[in-house]
Amino acid sequence: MTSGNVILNIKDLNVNYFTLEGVVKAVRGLSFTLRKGESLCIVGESGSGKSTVGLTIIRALPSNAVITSGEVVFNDVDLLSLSEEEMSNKIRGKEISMIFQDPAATFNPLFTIGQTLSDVVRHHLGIKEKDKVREHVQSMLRTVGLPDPERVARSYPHELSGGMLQRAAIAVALSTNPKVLIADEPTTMLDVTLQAQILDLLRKLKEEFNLSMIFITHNLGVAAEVCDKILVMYAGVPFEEGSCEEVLLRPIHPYTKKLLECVPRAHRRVGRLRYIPGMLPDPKNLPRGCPFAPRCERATEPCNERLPKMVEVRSGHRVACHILAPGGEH
Amino acid sequence: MPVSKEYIIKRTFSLIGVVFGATIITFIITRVVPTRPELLWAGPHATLEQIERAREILHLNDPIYVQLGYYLRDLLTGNWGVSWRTKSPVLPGILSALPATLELIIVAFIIAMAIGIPLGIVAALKRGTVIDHVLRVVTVIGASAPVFWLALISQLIFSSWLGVLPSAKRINELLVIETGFHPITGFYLIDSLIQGNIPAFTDALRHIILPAIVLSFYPMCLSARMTRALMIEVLNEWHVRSALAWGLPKRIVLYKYALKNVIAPVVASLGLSFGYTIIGAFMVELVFVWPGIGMYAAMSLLSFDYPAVVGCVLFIAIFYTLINTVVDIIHAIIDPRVKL
Repeated sequence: MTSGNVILNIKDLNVNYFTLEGVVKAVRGLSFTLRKGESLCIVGESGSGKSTVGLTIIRALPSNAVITSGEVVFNDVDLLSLSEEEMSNKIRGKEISMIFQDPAATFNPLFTIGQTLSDVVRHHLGIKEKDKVREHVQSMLRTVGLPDPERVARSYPHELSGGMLQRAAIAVALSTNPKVLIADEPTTMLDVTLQAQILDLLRKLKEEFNLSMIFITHNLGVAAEVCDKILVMYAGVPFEEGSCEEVLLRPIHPYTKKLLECVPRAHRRVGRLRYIPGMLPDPKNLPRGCPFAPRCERATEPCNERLPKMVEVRSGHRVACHILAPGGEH
Repeated sequence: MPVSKEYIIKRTFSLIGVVFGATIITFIITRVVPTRPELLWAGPHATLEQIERAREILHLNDPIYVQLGYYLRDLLTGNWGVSWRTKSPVLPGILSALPATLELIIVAFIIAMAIGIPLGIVAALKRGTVIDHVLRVVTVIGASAPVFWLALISQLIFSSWLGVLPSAKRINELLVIETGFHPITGFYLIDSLIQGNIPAFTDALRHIILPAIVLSFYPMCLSARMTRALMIEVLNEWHVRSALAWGLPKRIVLYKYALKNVIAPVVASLGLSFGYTIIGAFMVELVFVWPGIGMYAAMSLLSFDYPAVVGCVLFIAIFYTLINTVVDIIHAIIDPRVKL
């Protein structure tokens, strides 16, 4: 585990949203590393702060969000210290790119796919000649498996299906040959058959483009499909991190265990779907201690008092829990 | 152009409907007002017999629906009637006044868009700051100030007190004679340029500035407020965030991408306010002695010249429907999702 291998290193990240109703602590004390060629899955329920992580890395947060502390180190540079101009010219979209949940809302409805894609290509790759831009646009659209790239380039977003739009979005994101791709729930809005196709495509392109990937999802099944490493988040706090196999087969944190029990399995026909009783805590009014404590069967005194800290339980498997991984305390 | 056959048919029918309805309503309203138009027709020194004869010529002895029948019959043959005031046909009278009004409105709209849309963008980007609040107050006042009041005040300030701009007419008549300026299209700004007559152009420009600015106030404030609201809405949409996430510079995302989403609805609402602006033009033309349709209609109204009044209403109804069609087509050109 040399540092030369690490492409992205998040250190003790804290992000708050300032809303009319109060301060929302979206991310609290998150740290993780992403190595070259690795794919990391951030898993959590909606509202767990996982999307905020993606937007923080490329610094595209809404204007009411404030990064209160932490570092986002990419290739030995702290991205949070760069100017907006450096960020948009050199990093955002160029080195680290992103695809989003709703493919229909990703593209501006008044511009063709080709126009958007060529603007990105022109800006980042500095290609001026019309023919070369067009060529690159078409080859990217072909790479993501879109038939008839010429027609797709001429199409407006409303003329394409969700699956095609998500492929087109991947084409835009990868057109600049980035090192890291952040995929924020890229299959959530798609049909199941399309989901599998898009996941396949991402897996294939990851090899082809030598990508490191951060995959944000609420779906453990999707996580198992594509990822080497899993990070489980809850109410902005990291709970468990480890290799895909470790976390899915030997989970330690009570939340992860519960989450895994909730995954419906076709071959195990139980009478009812399982769920975790209770709800995510109100983000404006978080409990003082472990945010999962109110829903946790094993919660005891310290759980309500202090936020648990990540502790390495097995090699490469870190857990934040007072009961099952004691020792981590602030 | 994305225009279907159904759209053209639909529009044609709505044109006929609007024109027919407007004609009937105006016709009835003018006839039920208790006036004696035959006196205007016969002149001040007419004898009783001449007046009686005038009533017959004007079909005033017939019931109102018969009068309407006569009018509609004439209308179908392209005859808009004869003005009782000028004794000349109504339609040529309106058409000769049209360029003056169009020139005024077009200049006003250019001013409105050139100032209103940028102001709206600034307000949206500086949302919640002092600039935003000042602009909101100014635009609310501007959109609600009566246009004739603005006209009078601007005359008072710029013509009376400062003496920098003329307060009436389209051009200085003396200058017309001296430089040999003669209208071709009726748009003086264009005509003077065609003839290479720079003094006439400057003079026409100086004459149009005040009335055009006064007239532009309402659409300017309207477009500023709409642009602000739409811009704020668009900036919150996902496609703006994804364009930024793909690293497109802010200036391109704002002024190339987001702005286009804003322009389409702003143009649509401006087009609709175009119709409203014609009404404003009536007031402005009256105050600035601008020889356009508004002036023609106002003079006709004041002298109970009903064929001319109905003719004006008819003309504006047609004009308004056509403008709506043009707005639809512009909208369809900007927004590919709109199919006509």
